[in-house]
Formats: sequence, structure tokens, C-alpha cells
Amino acid sequence: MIKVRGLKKVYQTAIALRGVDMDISQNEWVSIMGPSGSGKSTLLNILGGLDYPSEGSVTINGKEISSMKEDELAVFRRENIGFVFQQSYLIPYLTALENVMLAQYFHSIVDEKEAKEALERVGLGHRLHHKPSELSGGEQQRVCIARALINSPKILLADEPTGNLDRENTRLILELLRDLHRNEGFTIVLVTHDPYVAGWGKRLLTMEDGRIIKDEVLHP
Amino acid sequence: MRFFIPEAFISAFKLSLSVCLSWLLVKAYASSIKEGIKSHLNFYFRHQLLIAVLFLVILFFSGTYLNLDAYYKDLIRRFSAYTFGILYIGAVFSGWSLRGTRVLIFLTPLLLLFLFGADTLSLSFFLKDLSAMRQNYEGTYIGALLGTGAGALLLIFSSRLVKRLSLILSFTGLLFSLSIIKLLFGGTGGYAELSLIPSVQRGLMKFFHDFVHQLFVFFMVPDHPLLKTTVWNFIGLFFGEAFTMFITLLILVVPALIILSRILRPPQVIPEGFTGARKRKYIYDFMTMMRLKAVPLIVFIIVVTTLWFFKAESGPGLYIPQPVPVVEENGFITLKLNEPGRNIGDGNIHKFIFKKDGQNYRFFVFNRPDGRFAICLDACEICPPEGYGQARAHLVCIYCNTPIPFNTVGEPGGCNPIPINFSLRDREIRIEVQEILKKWRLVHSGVSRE
Amino acid sequence: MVIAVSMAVSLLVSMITVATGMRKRLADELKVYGANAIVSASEYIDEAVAEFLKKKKGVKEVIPELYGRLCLSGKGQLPRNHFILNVIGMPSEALKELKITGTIPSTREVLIGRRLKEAGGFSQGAELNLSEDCDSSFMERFIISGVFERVGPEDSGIIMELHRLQEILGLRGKVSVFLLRISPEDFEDTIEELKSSLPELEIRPIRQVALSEERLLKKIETLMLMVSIVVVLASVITVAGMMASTIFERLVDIALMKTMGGTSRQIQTFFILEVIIVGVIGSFFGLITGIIAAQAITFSAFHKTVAVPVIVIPFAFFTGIIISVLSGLPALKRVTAYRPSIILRGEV
Repeated sequence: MIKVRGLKKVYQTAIALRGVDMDISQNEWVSIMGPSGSGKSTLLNILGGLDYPSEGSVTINGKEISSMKEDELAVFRRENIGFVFQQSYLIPYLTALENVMLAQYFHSIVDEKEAKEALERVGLGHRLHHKPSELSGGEQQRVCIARALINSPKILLADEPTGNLDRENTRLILELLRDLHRNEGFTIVLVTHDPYVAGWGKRLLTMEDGRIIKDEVLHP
Repeated sequence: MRFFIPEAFISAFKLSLSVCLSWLLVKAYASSIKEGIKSHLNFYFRHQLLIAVLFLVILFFSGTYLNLDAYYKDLIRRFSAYTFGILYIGAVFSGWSLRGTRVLIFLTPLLLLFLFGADTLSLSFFLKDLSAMRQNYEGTYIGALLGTGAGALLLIFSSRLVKRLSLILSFTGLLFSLSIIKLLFGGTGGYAELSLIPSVQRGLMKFFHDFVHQLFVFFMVPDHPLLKTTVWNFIGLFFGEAFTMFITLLILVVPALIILSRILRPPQVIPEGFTGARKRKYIYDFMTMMRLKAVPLIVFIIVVTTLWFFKAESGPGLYIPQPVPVVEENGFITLKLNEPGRNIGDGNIHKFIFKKDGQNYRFFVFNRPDGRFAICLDACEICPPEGYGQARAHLVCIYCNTPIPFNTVGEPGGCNPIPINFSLRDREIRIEVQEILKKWRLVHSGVSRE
Repeated sequence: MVIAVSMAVSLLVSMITVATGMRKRLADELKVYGANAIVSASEYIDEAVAEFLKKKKGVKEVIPELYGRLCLSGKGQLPRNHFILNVIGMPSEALKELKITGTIPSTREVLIGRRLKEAGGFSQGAELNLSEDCDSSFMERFIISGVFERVGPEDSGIIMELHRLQEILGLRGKVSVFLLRISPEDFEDTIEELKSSLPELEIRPIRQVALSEERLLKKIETLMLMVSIVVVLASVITVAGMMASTIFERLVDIALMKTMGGTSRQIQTFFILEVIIVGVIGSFFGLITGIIAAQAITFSAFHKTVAVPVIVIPFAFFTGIIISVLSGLPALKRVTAYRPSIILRGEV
């Protein structure tokens, strides 16, 4: 489903990716682990079309996104990819419900009932009308997940989603992701430096210095 | 010798513009139809266009050489106006069920002929009259040629526009768009001749008038003079100009609004199994497409309403006096300039009516702002003699709404009232009766309306 | 940001109000409809000459007047049965400019001068019998529609509509003089041209004072226009700067919207609406402050308040919105072109 060939990313000061090849199939849960500076976040950004590679290609379901223009990418993204980041980038002056509806707005039309149901599925049915500042870290991330999944994307890209959370909340979030992954069926690519978090996936890619050095299947 | 007459240019330009625009629209609509027919269409289209243009050209030249009775000329011009009504009714009916018809494409040459054949004939009649009046054949036809060319230029830059246009055209939208073209560019005179809104309004007024009259006859209400007057006054209040103007607007706009509301509804039927994001996307795509298709209707409503506002401002408010009967004395009609209660030199038109041998003749006296008197028949050479009304800065031919600037009244030609010779001496105007009878022969249909 | 827009709008509004008000005020103070030249002849002039005059470059307005005498018969407290009056025939446009106590005369009415009114004991609505000469048996009845206030010898006469007078005197198509309003820049040239093309007529400038004041007014108006343009430009730059900084603050939001799949156009629409609202609010406050400022200026100069031309209101909103949109759009367009990753990484 996702094909990456010869991906290179060069900055003025450093080389982030030195040639990455990988294949990810549908409904896989892939964890990417590595020390900081290994290029894992860069890889994720390019996978999601948030950044362009210097060389190489990324093909998702037959479409080569590395050559798409910005607006084309935007359309592709909203129908196929959901993002969760380490910081919960929620619009501070909108409520939780409105933040989810915002994702609906850019995709097609707004459906409040659907947004409500989505938030209930992540366990925030009672916090619909709270602003992000009134929610805890874990709750904010749950809103992010609901927002990322509202448009039924085929891929969920998560960059250190539990990086700012404590142990308990980390576990809760990962459990939520597992349940959703099982019920709704989408591919997860999760980037982390925490082995515990990485262990929740079915496959582990280890990166170092801009290259994938290990690709192993994890036992359930 | 002037080689260019503006009126000819304008009329030809209008016709050419409407033909080319309509052609563009049909082409755009056709391109939105499924691919399979397309290859056949291209071949067919080019030939269709040639055939249609050929027919129009033949019509044009036959018009120049034909010497039709005024009655038939008028019929042709009326037909041109009726095509708007037919298009509009067709649009409304097709809007009731949003299905397209491919038959339209194959009937394109006929469509062009139907819509524009009458216009083309009228244009050639108009140009012939214009040349005769201005004694300038070259100027007329060169002007017309330039006008036609200017309109056709549009077609050359049309290919990209066709792609864009095809997004907004459904069959209903196409018919509405063609109606707008007919409305804006219909008519071949120098000005918008058979303007829709006054025609509809007058038709309505006549309809109400006759309807109520028949009602009274039906109920055998006695024709008592007193009853008649008061009742008619009362009725006049309701079916007077303002009311019928408003009804006209409703008749024109309401059906389009209804269709619009049906177009802009969310989809009634959503395919099986579409849920969540997929359903929303389907609804969104559906609504976007429908909104595009609604554009011709919205344009139609805006155009009609705007024209209506302009008409409503200048329409009623025409000063049309009742003609005063006069009698002949020794072959002359004498009018005193100043009589108690009436001053025919006061700058307003004063109408008079004169009966001879069972025929009614109407004429008016008008003192122009530059001080000169103009005495003319209350009719012109071109239009049916419904007479003239007075607006703020011009007289208006009631039939065709052509404005005649005050200071050109008394000059012959076009839609100007036919001038008659008179003598003004000792504060008296004398008109020879033979002059009236002679000049009346020039009047369009020769039959007075009274 | 709202304040910047308000300031620009308010300045424009006050400028326009003061400018139009000043012109009107000046015209009132001079009590003349701006005529600065007069065309006369020994006898009468053909009315059609007006068309010729109108076509001349620099001639802004041509008002014909006909002078004559009529005989007033009977009525009133006048010493004799027949009384010869001076009559001026004016076209309706000129009648509207007169200071009248009463109404503008229609074709059956006349205006009388103050002195005549007092001498004859006439009142509004009274009837006058007028004829071309006192021997004629044919008299026309006119009703007094009002009294005109024009200080001078005309005071003891009457004013009526031009064409009417022409009829009565049998002088259809004739006038005595033309009053011309010529634009100040072309004044001398136009007078010279008229003199050479109409040698049989006498052409004289009148009211030199009005002419110089007109010139001054035009200079002031030009100055105001230039100041306004500068102000608008300055405000656009200021507002653009403010907009840019505001938008940069919201970069993260924009990147987020891109992540959610928003196209540039969608995001721009989203923000433009906000910008327009700012424009509307700014225009509103600008309008109010502008009007107040205009009144203050006019009051200090003329000790009177000025009427606000209605067109100023939509104009204010229009300008305010244009300023906001023009300022905001460049910044917005630049920003939406950034790649989301760059913003989210914090490199901007």
C-alpha cells in the first residue's frame, strides 16, 4: 500500500535521510524507532505529504505523492491520511467538538452528530463543549485522535503521540489506538523513541543516521 | 457619404452576439454529455453550424428582397418575442424533472433557425428601411457587416470557456440561459423593441380587463352607466398598472425560484452503504455540482428582476392624454393656441382625434423645448399605431418603447411620429385634412386602434 | 488593526463631507448659481444659440433669460388700472435656484418681487391679469405662487417660466441674454473664443470675485484629494503590516488546517471573512469619527454644520473593506504557500 523508494532528504546543514526503502501493507501497525536525529520524524512528514523529499518517491495506493502539488496533496491528505502529533495542535478558541468538526469542514461538509459520536468513541462524550485549555493532556490527545480519524483515512501517522504524557495516560492512549485499529481498520505508522510504545505495534523499523537498519516482526 | 451607420452596427451586433452565444452554450452543453457520442458530435457539429449559418444568411438576403405586407412583418417580429416565452416555458417544464435530452443536440440547426430566424428576417427588414430612410445603403450594410463580425469574434476565443461553461449547464440551465440571451439581445431595432416586461404586463392588463368584463356579462350585470363607472374605477385600482407590473414580476420569477429551491436541496437518495466520511463527501460533491447547475437560473432571476426595476421606474409614469375630438371646417382643422383651460403650446403633447368616412385619425400637437411646434400623426411608419406617451425627456412609442428625444419630434423616419404640415398664424394652427389622410397611408398597418 | 482601518476611513469620510459641504456653503454665501459671464445683444438672441454655447470647451452651464414688459390690469392697491411690469423669463433650472418664499411657478403662475408685493398688497395665491400690451383685450390670468428675494431693480417686477413668457410676448425661441458658467481654468480662453465666433453678440465676464473664489475652492479640493490618497496608502501599509503579524501568529493554525487537508483557497476564504469583518467594524467607527470631525471643521470655519452626503456611508464601508482585504491578502497568500512541516517544526 505504501511504497517508499530511495528517499533522501538533504538540508543545508545536515542530511536527514540517506536513502530509505520500505513497503507497508494495509492494516499494518508499524512502529519506527530510533534516537533523535535519526530522521524518523522527517520520514513521517514526507510520508504524509507535509514535506517534499530531495530525492526518491513515495507511492500510496498507486499514487505518487512526492510529485503532487500543494493543493493536490491537500485533497489527497484529507481523504486518506490522519495525523497525530506530540503536541496536540488544537485550535485554542474552538471547543473539542468544533475542532473535530473543523476537520469535517475541510474535507466536505460538517456533521455534528457524527462528530459527537466520534468523540464518544474516544471516551470524551462528556467533554464535548470544553476548550482545549480545559482538558488534560491525555484528553487533548484523544480529541486529536478523534479528529484525525473523523474522515475515515486509510492511514494514521502518529509522531510521538504519547511523548508528553505520563505512563498511565500513555497506556490509555495506546489502548484506544489498538481498539480503534482493530475495529475500524487502517494502517498505523507510529514514530517514537520509547521502546515500550514501539512494542505495541506488529512490526518495528529501527532507524539510525537517516537509514533503516533493522526491520523485524514483533510477537503479539 | 458616411460608411457606417451606428444603428445598423448595433442591431447586427446584437443578433450576431445572440447567435454566437447561443451556439457556445449548446456546444458547452453537448460537451458535458457522455464521451461515446462525442466523436460523432464533432463531425456533425461543424456541419450543423455551417448549415445553420447558411440558412440564416439565406433568410437575411431573402428578407432584403422580399416585399412583405406590413401585417406579416409584424407577425414575424412578434414571433421573435414569443420565442422567449416558449423557451421560458420549456425551461420551467424541464426543471420539474431534472433530466436532459440528447434530442436537442441533433436539432441544433432547427433550434438556431427557430430562435433566430425571425430575428434575422426582422433585421433585414429593418436594414432595408434604414437604408431607405437615410439614403445610405453602403453605410447600413457595412455597419451590419462589422456588427456581425464583432459578435462572431467571440466564437474564436471560446474553447476554454466551453469547458468551464459545461459545468454549469444542465438542459434546464441551457434553456434558461438561452432565454436570458433572447431577453437581453432580442429585437432588432436600434433599441430593445419588443421588450418583454411591458408586453407581459399589457397582456396581463388586457386579460384582466377582458376577464372581468366577461364575468359581468356572464352575470348579466346591467350596463347602468353609474354602476359601470364606479365599479370600473374600483377594478381599475386593482388591475391598474402597478398591480399588473408586480404580477408580471411574479409570473416571471416564481417558477424559476421554485425550480431553484428544488435544485439546491441535499440529495434525497444516498447510495447504499455510504456512511461517515464517504457519505459526507458524496453529499458535498453532489451539492457543489448542483450549485453550479443553479447558476443560469440565478442569473436569469437577477436579470429579470433588474430589468423589471428599470421598467417599473420608467414604465408607468408616461403621460398619455386622451385625444380631444375635433371637426373639419372647409377641409381644414383649426386649433387655437390658447383656449381657456388649455394651452397647446405648454410643452406637453396634446392629442386630437378626427373622424372621416368611418375611419379615426389621431394626431398630436407638441411644442418642443427649442420653441418649435411639431404636429404629427399619433403613429409612426414602423410600429402598429398604439400612439405615443410623454416621459421626462422624450416621447415614447407605446408599442415598441422606443424613446424619441423631444427635439427630434417632427422629423420623419424610424419610430418617429409621422410629421404633418401645418401653418401657424395669429395664434392659430391650421391643418389641411387631405394632408392627414395622405400621411396616414404611411402608418404601419393603416388601421387605427380605436 | 480595527483602529488603523477606522483612522483611514474616518479621514476619507471627513474629507469628502467637508469638501462637498464647503462647495455648497460657498455657493450659498455667494447667492449665485455660479454664473460668471453674460452674453447679450442689442435686441434678442435666438434660443438655439444655447446649443452652440454649450458645445464650447469650458462652458459648464448656459442659462437663458428673457426680459420684457407686461401690462398688469385691474386688481390690487396699485395707483392705476393698468400698470407696466418688468418681467424676467427663466428656465425651470434657474427658477429652482432662486430664493423663494412660496413655490416654484408652473406654467400658470408667476413670482413677484418683494417691492411689488408690498406696493400692490398682493399675497400668495392672488390672481394677476397680464397682457402683452395694455390696449389688448386678450388677458391671461396668472396666480402668484410666491415671492422671490433677489435684491435689485427686479424687485418691482415678476418672474415667470421662460417659454411661457416667450409665448405671451410672441417671442418664441428668443431670449435676451445667456448667463454662462465657465470653468475657472479655461475662463479667459473661452471668453476670447466666444468673442471671436460670435462677433455680433456682447460677451462680458461678471462677478470676478466668484471666479477667484472658485479657483481657490478647486485648489483646496485638489489638496484634500492628494492628502486623502496619501492617507489611504499609509493606512494600507500600516494595516498590511499589522495583518502580516497577526497572520504569523496564526501560522500554527494554518499549518494545522493544511494537515487536515485544507487547500490554500479554503484557508484563505476562512481568514478573508475574518478580515472583512475587521473592515466592516473599522469602517463603522471610521464613519462616525469622520462625520464628527467634518462637523467640527465646518463649524470652526463657517459656524454652521454640514449636511452629510448619503453616498458617504456605502463609500466608507466599501473603502474600509477594500483596505482590509488588500492589506491582508498578500500576507495570507504568502503564508499559505509554506509547507506545513516547516511551520510545525518551528523553523519559521
